[in-house]
Amino acid sequence: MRGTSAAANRTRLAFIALLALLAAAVFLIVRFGWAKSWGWWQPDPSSPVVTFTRDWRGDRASWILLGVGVLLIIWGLWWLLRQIPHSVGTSTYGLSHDGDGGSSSVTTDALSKAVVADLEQIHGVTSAGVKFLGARTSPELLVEIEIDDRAEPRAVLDAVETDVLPDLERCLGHELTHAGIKVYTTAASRPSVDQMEIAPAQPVGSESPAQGGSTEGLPDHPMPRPTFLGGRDDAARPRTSAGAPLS
Amino acid sequence: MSKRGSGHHAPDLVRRPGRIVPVVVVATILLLAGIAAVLIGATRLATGTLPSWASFLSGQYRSATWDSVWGWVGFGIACLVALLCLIPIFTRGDRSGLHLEPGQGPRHGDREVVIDNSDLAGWVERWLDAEDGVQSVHVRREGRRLVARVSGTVSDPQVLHSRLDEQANQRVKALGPADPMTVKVKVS
Repeated sequence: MRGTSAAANRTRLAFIALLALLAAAVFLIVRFGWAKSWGWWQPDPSSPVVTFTRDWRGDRASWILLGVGVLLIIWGLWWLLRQIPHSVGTSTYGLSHDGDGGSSSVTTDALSKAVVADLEQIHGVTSAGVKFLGARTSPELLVEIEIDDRAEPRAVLDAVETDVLPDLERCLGHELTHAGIKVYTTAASRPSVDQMEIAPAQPVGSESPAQGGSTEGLPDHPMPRPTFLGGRDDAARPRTSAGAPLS
Repeated sequence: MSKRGSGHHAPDLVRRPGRIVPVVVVATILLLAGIAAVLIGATRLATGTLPSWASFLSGQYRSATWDSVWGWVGFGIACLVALLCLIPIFTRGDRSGLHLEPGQGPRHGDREVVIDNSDLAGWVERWLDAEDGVQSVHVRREGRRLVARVSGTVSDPQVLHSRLDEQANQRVKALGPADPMTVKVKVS
């Protein structure tokens, strides 16, 4: 999962809007002499907006321009770089179990595979993905599950909540602080070859065999009954020119 | 309610419009202004004069007074910038997905269950497309509702409309949205 910060962008735009509104307000106050009428100091409206004393018109102005330019470049680059989507950082932490004969440790990478396997066992789930975040004592989980159109979404979510997540919490030894589940949908998949029921081949002229692997009803001779050897109908026998059947 | 709580590291699964375009525009303007200022300052330091492409600025700042036309031009630009920044802030925009109620079970901690708008629309669209009398369909989320534009093959679109409308709403309701989401079917 990748994303940019929408809230931070709104703050940035609000900051620029505020600066612009401030500049517009200052212009109006000076232009119409409102500050002077309030007894405050203000520049003369006929004076330049930006003015430099003679001392500052030389190299100092150039250095100021350079400094301001560098600051603007850094500012612009920083905002541009913040727009690049960043991936969600995942956490890898280990879980140790000490037994009588030794200890074992399992990382979250291995747990992810087990959780994915559990999720994909749920009827209607075609694929799944899992990411761990947080820490061992306050684990968080991000789950992506893809369900096909024939699935019952509520049944899938119930199965996740009653089977998969409690199993994971038992394994972690801590309750999940947060679990985010993102549901994707996909068109109903065609059954794969090994899921299809393939009826056994039937010999020609024989009755259908019984289902379920029983041999009852299967013909004694699996090969097709010969139709051209041995006796033949008289009508099918070759004949002489006079019409008498050949022996 | 499956909304984001507080105090967890996981990001929100539902995103609001990022306002990326206006920020990129502002950032690019800042960058270009910075580059121009650095070039002008460096050239002025090195040669004592402005670069040729910026020579028009020489002495201009003295004529840009508060009561001159240039003052009003600057005021107009400031107002325009403020407006272009405020509009994206206050424009609501659609969220990227729909929150669903979490599953029933021994739930500890916070839950957030989400389906993206595109997946939701596709799920409803494929179901409607399989219905009798439907030639083509396009579903799109618009605010708090899904709008399904259906092209039918029946002579009386009203019959098709009432059947699809009721069934589509039931199908979305079966998802268990956390906030009400209605489906509006338009048959042509």
